Parts: sequence; C-alpha cells; structure tokens
Amino acid sequence: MKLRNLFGSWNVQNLVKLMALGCGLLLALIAVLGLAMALGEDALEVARIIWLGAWGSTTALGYSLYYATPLVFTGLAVAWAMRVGLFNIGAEGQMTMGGIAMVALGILLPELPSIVAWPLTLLLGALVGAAWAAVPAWFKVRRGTHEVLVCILMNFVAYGVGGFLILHVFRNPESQNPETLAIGSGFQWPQLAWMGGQSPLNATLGLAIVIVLLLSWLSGRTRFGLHQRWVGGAAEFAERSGVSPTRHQVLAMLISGALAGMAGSSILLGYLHKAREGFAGGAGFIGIAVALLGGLRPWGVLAAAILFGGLQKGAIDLDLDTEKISRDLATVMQAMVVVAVAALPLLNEFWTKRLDPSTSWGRRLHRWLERDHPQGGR
Amino acid sequence: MDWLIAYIESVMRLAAPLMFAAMGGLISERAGLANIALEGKLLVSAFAAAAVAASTGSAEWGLVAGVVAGAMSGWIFGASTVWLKADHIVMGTAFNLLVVGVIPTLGKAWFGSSGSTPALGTEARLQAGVGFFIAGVALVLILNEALRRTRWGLRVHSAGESPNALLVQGVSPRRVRIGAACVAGALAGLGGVILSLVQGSGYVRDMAGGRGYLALAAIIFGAWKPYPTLAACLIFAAADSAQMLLQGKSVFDISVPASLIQTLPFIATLTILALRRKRVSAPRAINQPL
Amino acid sequence: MKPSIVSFQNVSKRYGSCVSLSQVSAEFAPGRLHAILGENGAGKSTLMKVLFGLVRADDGVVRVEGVEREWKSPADAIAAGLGMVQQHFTLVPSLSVIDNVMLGREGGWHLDRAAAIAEIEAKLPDASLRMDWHRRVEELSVGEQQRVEILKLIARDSRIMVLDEPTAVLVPQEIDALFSLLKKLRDQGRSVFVITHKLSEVFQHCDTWSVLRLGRLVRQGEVRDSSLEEVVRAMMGSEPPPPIRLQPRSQDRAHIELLEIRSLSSARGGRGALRDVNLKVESGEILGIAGVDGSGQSQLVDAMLGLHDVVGEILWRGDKMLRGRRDDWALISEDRHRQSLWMEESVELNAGLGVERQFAGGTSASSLSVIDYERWGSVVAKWLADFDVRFPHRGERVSRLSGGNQQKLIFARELQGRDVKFVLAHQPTRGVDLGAIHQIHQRLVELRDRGVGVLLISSELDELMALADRIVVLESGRVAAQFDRWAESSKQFDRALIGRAMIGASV
Repeated sequence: MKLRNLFGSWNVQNLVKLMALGCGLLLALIAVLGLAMALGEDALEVARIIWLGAWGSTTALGYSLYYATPLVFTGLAVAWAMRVGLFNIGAEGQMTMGGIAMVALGILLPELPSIVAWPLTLLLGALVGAAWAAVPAWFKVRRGTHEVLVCILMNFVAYGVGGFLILHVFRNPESQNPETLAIGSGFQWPQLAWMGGQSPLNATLGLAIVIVLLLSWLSGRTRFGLHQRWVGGAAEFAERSGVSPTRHQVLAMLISGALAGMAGSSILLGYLHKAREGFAGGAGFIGIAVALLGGLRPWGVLAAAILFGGLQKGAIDLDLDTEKISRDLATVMQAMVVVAVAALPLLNEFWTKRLDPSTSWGRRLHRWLERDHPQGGR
Repeated sequence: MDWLIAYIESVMRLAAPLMFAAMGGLISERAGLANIALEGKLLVSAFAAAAVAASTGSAEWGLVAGVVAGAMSGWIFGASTVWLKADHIVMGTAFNLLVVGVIPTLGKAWFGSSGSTPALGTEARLQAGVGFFIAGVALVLILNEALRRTRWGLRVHSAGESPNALLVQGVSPRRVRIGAACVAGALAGLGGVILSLVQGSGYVRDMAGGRGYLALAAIIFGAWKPYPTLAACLIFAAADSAQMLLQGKSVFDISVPASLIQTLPFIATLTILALRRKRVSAPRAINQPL
Repeated sequence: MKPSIVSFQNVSKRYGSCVSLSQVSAEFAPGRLHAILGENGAGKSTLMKVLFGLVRADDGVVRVEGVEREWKSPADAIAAGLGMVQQHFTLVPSLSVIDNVMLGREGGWHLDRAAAIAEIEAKLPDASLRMDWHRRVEELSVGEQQRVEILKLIARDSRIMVLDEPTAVLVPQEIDALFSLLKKLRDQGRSVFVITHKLSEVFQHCDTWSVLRLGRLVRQGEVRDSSLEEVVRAMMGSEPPPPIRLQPRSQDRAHIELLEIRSLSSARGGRGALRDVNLKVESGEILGIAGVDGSGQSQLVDAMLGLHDVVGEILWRGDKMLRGRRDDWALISEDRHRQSLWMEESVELNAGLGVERQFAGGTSASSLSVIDYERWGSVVAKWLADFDVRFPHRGERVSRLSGGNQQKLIFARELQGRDVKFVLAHQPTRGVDLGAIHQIHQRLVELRDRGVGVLLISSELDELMALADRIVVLESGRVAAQFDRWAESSKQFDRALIGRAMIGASV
C-alpha cells in the first residue's frame, strides 16, 4: 500500500489539508480538556484515563474496536454520499430500520444455517436501509427538497416505527427490558476473543474491513466510482459529458442507505443477538464526524472510526472514574472534531499561504514532492 | 364541542414554540445562513431557562436567561460559521452535537443529574396560557413588515441574495449575517423558554423532540415567507395536538401504540412537502461563504 | 496643467506567489475619460479595486484629489466621492430598482422610497435616464441593469467613476449609448475610468489610455496623439499576430448536412426561451450565432445536449436525435469553471474526464470497468503538449491555471479525445488572453477546413465577423436575421445591420 493511495494524490494540497486537520484536532483537544478543567478535573488525569481506557489492555482495545465497528459502516455511508454531494444525516434511521429487519429475519426463520443466514441478513439490512434512504433521494430529485431535512424527518419516523416493531411486534414478553426475542443461532456472528479479550468484539469487524476494501476499489479504480465523485465535484460538467447527476445522486443515496442499513450487524448479530430500543445510540450522527475526519475516503474512515471507538470507550471509563464528567464528554469531543473539520477552509488558506512556493519552506517542499508526481484524483 | 375548544387551545399552545423557532430560522436563512442548528438552540435556551429558574426560583430570570442563551448561541453559531468560512450545514450539525454533549455535562456538574434539571414549582414557571401564541402571531406580522419596509429588512434580504451588493456599498454582509443569527437565536431562545417554563416544568433530555427541524420544514414549506411559514407551523401543531389527543385512546376499538402515533407530525410534514409540487427556491446565496 | 485627480505611486499587490501589481505609478487628470487597457490578468481590475478600497495594496501610495488615502472599506471611498461598477453587476436581482439604488444609503431605519425616487430624479443629467423604479432588477435587460449600476453612482454623487469592462455584455448600439452617457457625466466635471480590452471603443470615445501588462504600467498616452498599432504592441509586448483570413469553402469535398434544427421552441416560456428556431450546420463551415447575452443561446446549447425541454426536432445527419450529446461532438461550454472543468482536481484528471472510456477498455467499457490511470496519464500528456497547455506539473489543480490555459486544456480534451465531426463552441474566447484567443481562432478555422462543422456562439461581433461563414442572429429566443459571408446579395456581413437585428430592430 503506497502512502499516496491513503490520501489520494500525494501533493501539496493534500499535505496542506493534513496540516490543517492536525491543527483542527489539536484545537479540539484543547477545547475539550479546557472544559474538563473548568468542571474542576485535572486535565492530564482526564487525558490519561481516556488513553488507557481506550487502548490500555486487550479488553480495552477490543471494546474500542467493538464501538468502532458500527461507526465504520455509518462513516462510510455518510462519506460515500458526501463525495457525491449529498449530506446523509439519516444514517441513524436507516441503521435502525435495517437492523430491525435483520433481527426480524433471525426471529422468523431461526433454523437457517449460517451460510445462508449471514448473506441473507446483510442483504435484507442493506435493502431496507436503502429503501429508507430512497425517500430523501426521491424528495431531492422530484421535489428539490434539501436531503438534510427529509433525512432528519425520516429519522424521527424510524424511531417511532422501530419502537413499535420492537415493543409490539417482536417483543420478548418474558423480558423486563424493551427488547425483542433472540435470533436463531445460525444468524449469530462469532466473537473474536483472541483479539478483544472479554469484550464483545466480533467477526463483523472483518466484514467492515472487507467493505472498506471494496469501496476503496469501487471509488478509486472503476469508472462508476469516478463518475460518482465527478457528480459530487462538478455536477454540471458531468451532466454535459453525459453523466447524469440525478441518476448518480439517487444511486449514491441508495448505496449510502445500504451501508447504514448493515451498520447494526455488530451490535445485533455479533453481540446482543436481539434488538433493543434505541440500539443505534447515535452511531448515525457520529458517522458524520467519522466521515469528515476520515477525509471522505474509505481507509480514512476506518482510521477515524477506530479513533472514535477509542474515545467512546475512554469516555465511559471517565464516567466511572471521575466525579463530574459523564460519558457525554465523548459527544462533545466528536462535535469539536466536526467543528475542526468544518474550519478546514480557513486553516487550508493559512497553510496554503505558509507553504506557497514563494516562501523558502514552500520552495523546498514543492521540490521534494514533485520529484515523481503521481496522478491526481484517486 | 368541548373537545374541539380543547383541541384548538392545544394547537395554539403547541404552535407557539414552533412559531418562534421558525421565525428565528426564517430571519437567519433569509440572511443566507442555513440554520439547521435551530434544534440545538431550542435545547440550549430551554436548559438555560430551566437551570436559572431552578436556581433563582424566578420565572422572569429564567425567561431572560433563555433568551440571552439563545442569542449567544446564535452569535456563536453565526460568527463561527462566517469567520471559519465553514459549511453551514456541517457547522449546524456540529452545533447540535455539541449541545447534546454539553448540556448533560453541565447538568451533571450543577445538579448531579446528566439528564434534566430539578422539577420547577409553579412560581418558577410562566403562566401564560395562549399569550405566547398571540405574541407569536404579532411577531409574524411585525416581521413581515420589517422585512419589506426597513433598512434592516433590505440588508438582510441582500445578504441572503447577493452579498456582494452590500460589500461594494461598504456594508459588511458578514455583520448582517451575524446580526441576523443573533436575532434568530433570541427568537429560538423564546421558543426554548416556552418548552421548559410554560409547557414543561423544567428541562428533560431532548425535550425539543425535533421541533427545531419541524420549524425548518415549515420555513421551506412556506417558501421563506412569514405568512405561509406561520400556516405551516399551525398545520404541524395541529398534527402534534392530534397525536397528543390520540395517545392512550382507542380508535375503532383498536388501540394505536404510542410510538406509532408520535410519528404523526413527521409523517404529516413529509406528506405536505411531497404534495407541494412547485419547486420553491431558497435565498440565492444561502450557505455561501463570505 | 491641472493637478491629478488620482495618482498611484509604486503600488504593488501580490496574491500568494502571483504578482498582480508591481510598482505601478500613474497620474490621471480630472474631468476626462480614461481608458485602462490590458489583457486578462494584466492587473487592470486590481488597480481599480485598490483605488476603490475593495483590495488593499501591499505597498505604495494612492492619492485622490491630492490627498493620500488608505481606505478601510469601500464605504470610505464612496464617502470621498468614488464609485465603481463591477464587471459582474452587484445588484440584488429580486429587489426593485429603487431598492437597489437605496441599498447602503437608506437614510434612516425606515425606507422612504418616494423620497429616494424624488432625490435621484433631481440628480439625473437628463430625463431619458428615468426608469420604472418599482420594477424588479431581474426583469431588466443587461443594458438596463448596467444603467441601474450607474444610477447608483449618480445617487451617491460620485465624482470619480470606475467601470470595469462595461461593454462586454452590450451590443454596438448600447455601447454608443453608454459612452454618450459617460461623456455627459464627464462634461459635468466628473472623472471616468473605463477598464476595457476593446481598442475600437477607446479610439472612438476615450480621452487617454493607460496600458498594463503583467502587473506593470507599460505606457500611457493621449488618444488623439496615438496610433492603434502602438497600443496593441504595448498590450501584447510583441508584434500582433496577422489577422485570420477565412478562405472560401473548398469545393473539392461534398458538404453534407450535419445538424438540422427544425422549428425548435422551449417547452416553457421565460427569458431566453426559444421560439421556432430553424438552422442548419453543414460540414466544413462555421455557423456563427450572434445575439445579446440571454437571447436563447444557452437554451439552444442545452436543447442540443438534451438538457432543456423543447418541442420541435433536432436532426443529426437526417436522423432524429434521441439522447443528448453525441460522442463525436466536441463541446466548449460557456461557463468553463462550472461546465467544462472540475476545478479542485488535477490538470491530468481534467484532461481525460468524459473521454475516459478509452482508458477503461474502450467501447465495451461498462460502469465497473477498471480505469488504467497509467495510460490515462501518458495519453493526456501528449494531448496537452500538442495544444501547448502550460502547467507547472500534472497534479496541479486546474483552478490555478490561467483562463487561456484552461480553455486550451478543454480544447485538447474535446478534440483529441474524440473523433470529432462537429464542434459546439459557446463563448470560446471569453476571459482568455490575446495570444490564446489567436490560437483558438486558428484551431476553429483548421477544423472547418478539415470538414468539421462548427457552431460558434459568441457575443463578440468582431469574432463572428472574422470567423463565421454564416451568421444567424438570435433575439429574444427567435432567429431575427441571417447573413452569409459569401453571398453576393445584401445578405453579406454588415456590422450595423447585425447590430440592429441583435436589439430587435427590423433589418
């Protein structure tokens, strides 16, 4: 794996972006630790708890990766749509509906062997997620309504419909908790105890990595991937070259919805083996932060998801080990990351000026980078 | 007929926070600032109002705190978006996410409960009946005139349509946008105050329940004009009241589960948006960096 | 001699590594009509924006009426009696004329439109400038919109007026009207600066000229003491290329009819909607479409690409066209930044986009075919070299190229990447420097001589008169007149007649 494939074309602009991102993350970190200090905690201690909580032991690492797994899916979902110029803020709802569909299949046909059950559940989850995403796509194309609004409304509908299905249709009457019956054993994915110790880490992480590989190939190598990104970057140009933006936007939304629809697999098929109300737990929204931090590229999303999984695990330890800080601090951190990424245009401007070829640093850098210049746009 | 009167009163009550949020959103969107952060502003001001009312025992101070918190969060959102040249929707998402994280963090630090503020006694709540609804209607009337006949309206409109026209006249479109964001925040703040001090007795987790987004839908449905936006707010409030009315009741001897009924306002909104065939165009320079 | 009204001393401005103005020093006398000349990117607009306070110079001194000035914002410049009409109008299209005039000097929180109308009418130099004050600006023609911009300056009592490329969007008659208005304003004692690249206007109407090249002021002079050649040489820094001479169409080859448009009308009305358009393009000819911007040119192009709903027929070699653009058409779109380029991407990627099928297995390529980016790189490198596109390295963002180089890249892609039978060129030389314009013109004539059919849409009448075999004038979406270079009759090219047709006067 060459370095440049991770960051697209390896040139000054991307270096600038990377530097800008670094600055943004640093500022976000300072802001969060500042908040912790304002609440009367020791910032260094807070940082230490988060760090050890996330990566300090095999089990901690396993938890971090377990939390990361759904974020890989939702992050990829948001990133794919965003590269085509759409903001899929509805991954939460798509994940909810897709997840319930997967569990429903496991309840209704409990006897199926894994070889059939696994692909079938994933397919069903993807289809239902895509169907939920088809609504904003339809509004966008036929009514010109901004997809963000429709996605949000669909999220609320998904909460209601999902709650109804879990509490009334598939409910486990023997349980005190708002949860469904269990899925058949053929539908369950194995735990990865060798990697994650006592944590619920399971084989769906492998599935996530396979999908990252697949999307990376699709986006970076094929004509379809190029056309998708082209529509996102220069829709009018694409249209005038015979590549239909409408068609590609609808397809992108469906792909995005399918990815989000499978996002519940780690929680539902790999750990709980049933559905609980609110199992998505905001993964759809955190996916936005993951996608932005990952630079909208599949491998970047994977890295960002693992970082965020670690933050989530660290924040839970923080909740237990400190008096004043709750696990909601993870959300604050994620929000600050989005702010940092949103501020990229300004930071980009700053670094572009600093690294301009007219400055001595810029001159050296350009000479170094342009020895062998790779093709752009992958 | 008693149920009808009760229903209409309930529509008016439920419409009030929606109207204030929608009018705030309308001002900022007309100035070119896409305002998906309305939901977060409702939550911030509802929390601030409840927290101050609980601490001081005074509803009036709660009201002031809610409006000030709304205006301040409007300023933070507007200024950060404008100065960082950020995408408004990404920034709005970040703002909403931030609010979701910060409120429980502060709540835990102040009240030892990350979910809510202590329940308020009657003296710390506002007894307004439908007063806020009437104030909201008055606001729509005033806003409609202000947009058409004042310097402020002219400049807000220009900032949203053609910011360069302001720039070359030496008027900073950035300041116009940030100013509009503050006013928008204050109005959304009033909406938040209504949620926690009038309709509720204190702050509970996620108490806006999507009203910020419904307000946004109302603006789009209303084609960024005050009167049609008001009409949309009333329709959504009617669906919401119907939802409240239906809960726990059985229709034709079939009891409809609460979770399904709760989706009613959202499904109504989607249906209305789907039925509107005419494409309405947003302010031309919305979500364009300055 | 009177003291200067505006003087620059060693004014410099850099954008990153790009020098826009370098040590410009110049003096301008009051009460005259000054022409600021230069190619694209020579620094004309930047210099005037420095004067108006929209751009802050890095270095140097600007004096207005003898006083050293450093504006904090355009508001200061306006207060000191300056006014500027930008090349892209800074009007609010959805507001009325009077609201646009009032914007920025509303006089109190409440808008008193009646008082504002009375005030501006009192200031007009003559009554013919009066307008329907309550009409919305988006309903006005381009010429009228420009008048609104000038009215804004009059309302603000500007003593120094700057107009950036005011004639780029106007037809000949409107240009004359504009200059007679500007002369009237000058005779009232105002100083007027006009940024332009059209020399004919300078020699007809202006008092002085100043030429900028590559950010430096190269020469200044009085129009009445100067020759056209002298100014051209100053602008280009070299001898001008010989003008293009169109040879009569060769009769060796049979000319087949490529494109025919039959009674084409837009499905919906509106500004620029097509109304019963008929035209034909044969192989080996250049058909020019003349017309004021917004007369239906964009709709015509979009209709041919299948992006605009129409009734009527578009035939390609006698067959009705079913889906938009064909692979053997080269398309040069009007707005190259949005319609022909992906601005954030590399030169290399842009040079192959849209013709990438050949890098993915050729005609049998499907959506999932893998693109061979190595081959892409080596093939487009040759195309770019053939078309003399200059760029620092192949990963450079296309947005950082000059307008001329961007346009040459588009020509390279569209002509080399396809087996071209027909060229659809919409404003191919807008915003392009003189050297590149010459290359593009040569390229179009070569194509014509090779038997390719060319549809050339331009609002520069000079360009069409130089290149086209035939000219069709579009006015309000209909064909107003047709002219033929090679005809014996009264239908030969005639600037005045074409100009009249463009504004809808009977020919």
